[in-house]
Amino acid sequence: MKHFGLLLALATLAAAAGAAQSADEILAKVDENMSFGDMRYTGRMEITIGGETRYKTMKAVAQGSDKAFVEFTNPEDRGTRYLKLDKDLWIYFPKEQDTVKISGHLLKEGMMGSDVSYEDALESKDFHAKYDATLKGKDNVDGRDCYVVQLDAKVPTAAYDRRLMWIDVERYVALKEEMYAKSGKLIKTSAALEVQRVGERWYPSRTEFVSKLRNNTKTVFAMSTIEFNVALDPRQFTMAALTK
Amino acid sequence: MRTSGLALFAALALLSLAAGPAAAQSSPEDGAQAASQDSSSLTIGGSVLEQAYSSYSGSGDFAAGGFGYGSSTTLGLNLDAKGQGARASASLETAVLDGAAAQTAWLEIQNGQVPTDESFVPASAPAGGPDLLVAARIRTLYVKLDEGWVSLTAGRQVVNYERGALWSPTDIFTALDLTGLSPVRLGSDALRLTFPLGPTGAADLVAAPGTAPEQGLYSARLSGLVLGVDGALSAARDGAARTTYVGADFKADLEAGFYGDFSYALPDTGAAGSYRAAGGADWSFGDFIVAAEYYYNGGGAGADPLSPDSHNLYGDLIWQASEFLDVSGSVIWDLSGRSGTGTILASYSVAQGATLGVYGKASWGGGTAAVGGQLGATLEVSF
Repeated sequence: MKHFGLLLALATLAAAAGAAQSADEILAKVDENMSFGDMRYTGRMEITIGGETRYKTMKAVAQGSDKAFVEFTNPEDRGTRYLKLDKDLWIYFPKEQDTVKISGHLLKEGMMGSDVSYEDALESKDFHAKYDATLKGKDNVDGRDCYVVQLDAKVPTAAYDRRLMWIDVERYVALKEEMYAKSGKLIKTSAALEVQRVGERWYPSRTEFVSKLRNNTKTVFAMSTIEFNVALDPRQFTMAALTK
Repeated sequence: MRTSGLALFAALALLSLAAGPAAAQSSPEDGAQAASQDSSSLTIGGSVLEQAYSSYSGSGDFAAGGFGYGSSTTLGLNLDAKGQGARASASLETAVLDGAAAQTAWLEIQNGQVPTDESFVPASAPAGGPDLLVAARIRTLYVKLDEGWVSLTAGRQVVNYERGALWSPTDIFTALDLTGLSPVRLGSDALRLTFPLGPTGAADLVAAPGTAPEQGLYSARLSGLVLGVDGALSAARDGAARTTYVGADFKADLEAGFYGDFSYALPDTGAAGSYRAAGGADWSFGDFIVAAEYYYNGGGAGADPLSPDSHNLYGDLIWQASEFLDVSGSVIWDLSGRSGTGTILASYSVAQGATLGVYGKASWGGGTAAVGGQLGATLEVSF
């Protein structure tokens, strides 16, 4: 009986180790889809409260998770530009010809009043570098089989303390996600509405974000003309580019 | 309104760039076209702002005070033409002022308080002021040539050296217009030469010679990001005031943002120098963004006619109540003269591109124990 107990314990440990390995492999494949060197796209945010929707449009370029440059093109915000270098963020207001350095804590907040964070919109997502993964099981999202993977932050720069992802077993894209605060409170959910084949990878080109901190609001973030690994001029990621 | 040769040159360049290939290539997404990576583009946009209010001014005894009603309609037009390494830009405004709005503006004309970039029709009026006034202003009108290692900007532009939310002792070029619901920085007719130094640094030379070069404003500034601190050193010369300035400013991110802006003035006369300094912080928590700033003016009215007294405070609080609704409040308070102004504004996005605002504005003190106030509404449509 004693030997049986030992064998059971070893089998459980082996299964747990196998599951953790699987979660790491799954996450590695998600990273292959979601991480990038240089990227360029045009974007559109549709912000909805109740039945009312407003949109904002933008053009963006990004380099890994450290550098990004965005220019808004909708009439109210036309010419407003963001430059993000590592954890530093500057905003240029064209009417005032004014460049303002924004404090770092704003990076975790919604971009231009939306439910989309700067990380959601601008950063290469190397989940492996920031999270430990655990496979929680399998589920089905809109008719597609998914792994359910829990990510726990292992570095303070991670945007969320815990994330629960439903990852498409064929395309390795998160079709659904829940983001939690350190307190365990659910603060945001996202759902991939469209997944696009871009070169060799699958990428969510239309995603709905719902803030759980506000009532009855959601933002749909749509990316079009997505290009990966394009040759970007390094001068795009400079203060001088803000005032060009 | 005085429009210099630089601004006229900028206007001509704008027209020539707009008439070139860029105009033919304008195929905007959602009515706009702009992208830093595009080689050429033409963007035309702007807004129409309607404002209506009732006002009070007097000594505080409401029975004896004067009540009025005013309204204004303002068309703002922004044109931006970009070519390969060249850009021309204009921001123009024209407004029709009625009732108390016309009379208040007329009073400001008589008192010499009109922003320097603004002109009015009619130029004369009966006693008591006109019932209707047309105002026009060129906020900016400039051309920019960019060779990568250097850029030249010529024409009316907002030099904007400021670090603070309101006061900027190191910026000798930019005057403030505090007559509206929020502070506006006015353009200067200037030549600006900028040499980028790495991703975040720059060496900057600005000259605003005006009509007599020996009476002009000149400055040199070195700025950059060092150890996470955005900082700058500057030196400037005001020929008309025969004064030389040295200054420094910074902004650091320590969870909250902290900033400071310091300028020391040394007159040619050999008289003792004076300094001006501003310092403040901004922070966001939840749906709130707050900023507070203190300003010391050691140079009196000669150095800063808008804030002539020594000790001044500015505070600003924004509540982002929802994605469509912002409520903001701000106070400018002259601690020495015990006067100030306060504004509360609620802005709601009523439709795509349209914002409805409701506001209250009050002013008090200023040596005459006078009080004034406005309650009004605005509707702005952007295109």
